[in-house]
Amino acid sequence: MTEDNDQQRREHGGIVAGFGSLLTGLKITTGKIFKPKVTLEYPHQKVEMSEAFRSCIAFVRFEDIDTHDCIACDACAIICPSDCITVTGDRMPDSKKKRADRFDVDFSTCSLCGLCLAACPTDTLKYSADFDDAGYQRGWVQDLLEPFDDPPIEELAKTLTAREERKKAERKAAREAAKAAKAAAKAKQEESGNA
Amino acid sequence: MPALIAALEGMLGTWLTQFLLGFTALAALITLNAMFMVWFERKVSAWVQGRLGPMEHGPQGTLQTLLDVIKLLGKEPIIPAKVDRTTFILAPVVAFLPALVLLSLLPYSEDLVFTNAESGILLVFAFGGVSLMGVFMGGWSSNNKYALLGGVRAVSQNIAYELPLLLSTMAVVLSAGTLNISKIVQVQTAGGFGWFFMYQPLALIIYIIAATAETNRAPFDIPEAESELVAGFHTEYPAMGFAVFFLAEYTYMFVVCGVGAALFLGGNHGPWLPGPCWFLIKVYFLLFLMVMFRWTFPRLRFDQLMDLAWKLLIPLSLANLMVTALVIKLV
Amino acid sequence: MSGPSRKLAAYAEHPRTPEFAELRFGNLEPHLIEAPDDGTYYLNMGPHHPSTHGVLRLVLRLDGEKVIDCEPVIGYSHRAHEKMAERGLYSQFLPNPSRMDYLGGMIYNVGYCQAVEQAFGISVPDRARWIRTMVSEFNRISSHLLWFGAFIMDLGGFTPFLLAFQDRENILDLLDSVTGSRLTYCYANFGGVTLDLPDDFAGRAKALIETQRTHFETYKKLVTDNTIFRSRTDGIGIITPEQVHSYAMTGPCARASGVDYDVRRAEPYSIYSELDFEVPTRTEGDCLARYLVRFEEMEQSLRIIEQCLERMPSGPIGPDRPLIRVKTKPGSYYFTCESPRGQLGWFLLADKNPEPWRLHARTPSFCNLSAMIEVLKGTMIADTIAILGSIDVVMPEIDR
Repeated sequence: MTEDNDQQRREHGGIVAGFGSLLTGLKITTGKIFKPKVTLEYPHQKVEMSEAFRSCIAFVRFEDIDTHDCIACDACAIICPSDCITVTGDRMPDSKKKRADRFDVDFSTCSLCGLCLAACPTDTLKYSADFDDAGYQRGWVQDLLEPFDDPPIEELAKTLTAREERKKAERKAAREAAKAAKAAAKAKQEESGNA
Repeated sequence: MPALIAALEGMLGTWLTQFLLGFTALAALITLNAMFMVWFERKVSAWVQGRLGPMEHGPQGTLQTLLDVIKLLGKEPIIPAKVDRTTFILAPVVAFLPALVLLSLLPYSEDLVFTNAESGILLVFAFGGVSLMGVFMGGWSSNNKYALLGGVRAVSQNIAYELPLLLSTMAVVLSAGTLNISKIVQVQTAGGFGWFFMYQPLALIIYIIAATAETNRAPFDIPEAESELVAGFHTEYPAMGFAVFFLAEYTYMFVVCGVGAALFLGGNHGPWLPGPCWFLIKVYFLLFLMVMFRWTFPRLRFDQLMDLAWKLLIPLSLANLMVTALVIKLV
Repeated sequence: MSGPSRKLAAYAEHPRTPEFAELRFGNLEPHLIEAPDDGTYYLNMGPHHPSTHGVLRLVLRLDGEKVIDCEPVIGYSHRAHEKMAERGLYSQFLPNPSRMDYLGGMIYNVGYCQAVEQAFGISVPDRARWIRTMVSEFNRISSHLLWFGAFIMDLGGFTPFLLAFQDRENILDLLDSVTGSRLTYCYANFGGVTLDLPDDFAGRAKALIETQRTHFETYKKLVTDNTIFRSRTDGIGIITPEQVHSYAMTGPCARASGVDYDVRRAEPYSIYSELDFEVPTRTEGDCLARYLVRFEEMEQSLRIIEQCLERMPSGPIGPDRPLIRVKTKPGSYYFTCESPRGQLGWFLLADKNPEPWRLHARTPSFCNLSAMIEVLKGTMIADTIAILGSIDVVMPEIDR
């Protein structure tokens, strides 16, 4: 212990001040005993997760087709930094479109980075809100398509085609509306320019 | 119950019966105290920190300690290969056994005293010193550098703090004029004299600080300083060896608080409730203080701990003793 | 036998690699077995020790309780993050930076994105930059709070640890509602951020700042003024400005020694030049100074967050579709930002391929730890723990 240290310590206060600081500490901790507690008794009470919460990925069930829209394009499997996604799928009959029949995710290696969601062209991937899943071994692979009960393939192809046509029409309408709006704006501008 | 006792006396003789009864009562006290204290400590620490503590087993988790003990009993008592086997096994026993003697010296009420020794206080400190041997044996025999450091720290710390502990009680002994703990209590209860903490506040403060250090409790827990020495002297002890050290620690806490309650707070003295209740209330009040110390303060460094004892507490308690002696002489 | 195990066997039998045989038997330091005969001894502290903050191993040569010499052994959590970067696209490295320093994950995540953006000229909308700054400062506070708790726990006080964790929990809840993660963030992406702020964010953040300020008052009374705490930290582990310079220490540790350097002000990036904040410095250079500097920094961070909440611009938060393949420009680039522990530098060597040729992170803890070893000599074991705690090392960030 050098003299400098003793000097610094003396500046802070003597024995009495030090003893007082200890009593202040005791007062604070004793006061805390009667404050409300923050513990949540977990298995009995559950936490509500925020809307943004990222858990393992899951499939969106689109309302108009009542199923997922995975076209087995492999974009997610290619971008995944941990190589934890494996998609298999086939072309649908009488169509160029592919349809996934199996989507295996190894949750034990997933790092929840969200690149698969970013890469997905049909936006059919989302984060689930299940925070308490646990695996019992390495290589904890789950088929995310299991809960989806697809209608027979012909029927499905029909719904999908119908949906696509509807979407096409929507896009066309939007384009035309945009064009009309532009024209209107232009006309307005010219008008104001004239005025 | 009296019939049973009479039958026992008939079979074994008075002395043996009393011994057996006393032994059973003390063993029950040790176990119940340790179980309560573990639960209490966990609860208080949780409340201080905004948590709930054990809640699963029993109301407010009261059965948690019982289940912990069962778990510890069921664990395999591993003895590391390179330890000094005899010393290693004996250490927790040596640390724990004096606790029985110490508990028998406390005055639970005017009638309920297991051993009414004339030199009671001296006996308490003498047997308290024996338990230190257990700690050092455990630290030395473990063949582990952390444990050894813990053991060495424990010895130097306990030697340093035994002095202020004794000197602060001696001030009370001087005022009361006897070493017998029951008689000191009687002095306080006798007509309007009042408890000793009113006359000896400084001695009480020194006693509490030195007692906390003597029982190796935080902020003086440097023999088992978790963040420095992993677990100190009991690093290598699994299962029941660890549990017995734990039991010893909580029993000593009870003993020093019992002595403190008897010497400074009037022991079993108090209105309305029977004597033993008041004694226990006072003891657990002091224990609560010690628990609060642990969950409030950071730990002292080893040399600061020594400085505190040798440079502050011992001179202060000596001065206190001299002033007391002078006042008694003059008044 | 195939792959790695065959390789190992070849090494073991190879006559020219005796070091490997030693490695196999774990005798990395032969001197640990033969005790020196001058009354000193070696104590192997870590990698499994309650207060070596992860997996740092200190080989201490002790005389009684006095530390004579100290040799840190690092590398126990080496995961080859820099090599991983070379293996994939720039975007595929996005989840990694926050795993390097799990306490300052957001700052690492944002820093990496900014490094790539700066290198390849990706523009970031205003709102995204303000959001990034704000969440980074929240992350800085949560990191400092955890450090505060762990430091007091190293000194033997347990209650402040859990109180600090409750505060940190509030911040994590807030960040969770923005980013979706609580510890290892992957929030920023090239050109923006992934999610916009929720509607109730400003109100919650303001309430949190208020409670946090009152809690800092409590900590001041409970810990800072405590005489035991003072005596454990005052004048312990003094690092001189010369040592700071020679070991390239940065961050709060350097500022506590009187070196007034903060990347946020020295080389302002993002929106820091528009913000009004102070860089707290002290001259003592001991554990207490490091403690106080961090506390003042937390208060400054709260100020920055308040300014961000007030001046948050509206507009887009990033490109419509996340940028997955970056258009690269060959060259070498360096970007630096201020992590909770000091200066974090990203060195990037790019060719025309979509993967980085080399990515190097200059992480602050490594330099800070090296300087600590110097001041350890001559102290006691308890001081060793205090100094180590006051430096605030995060081992995965050193090992990477």
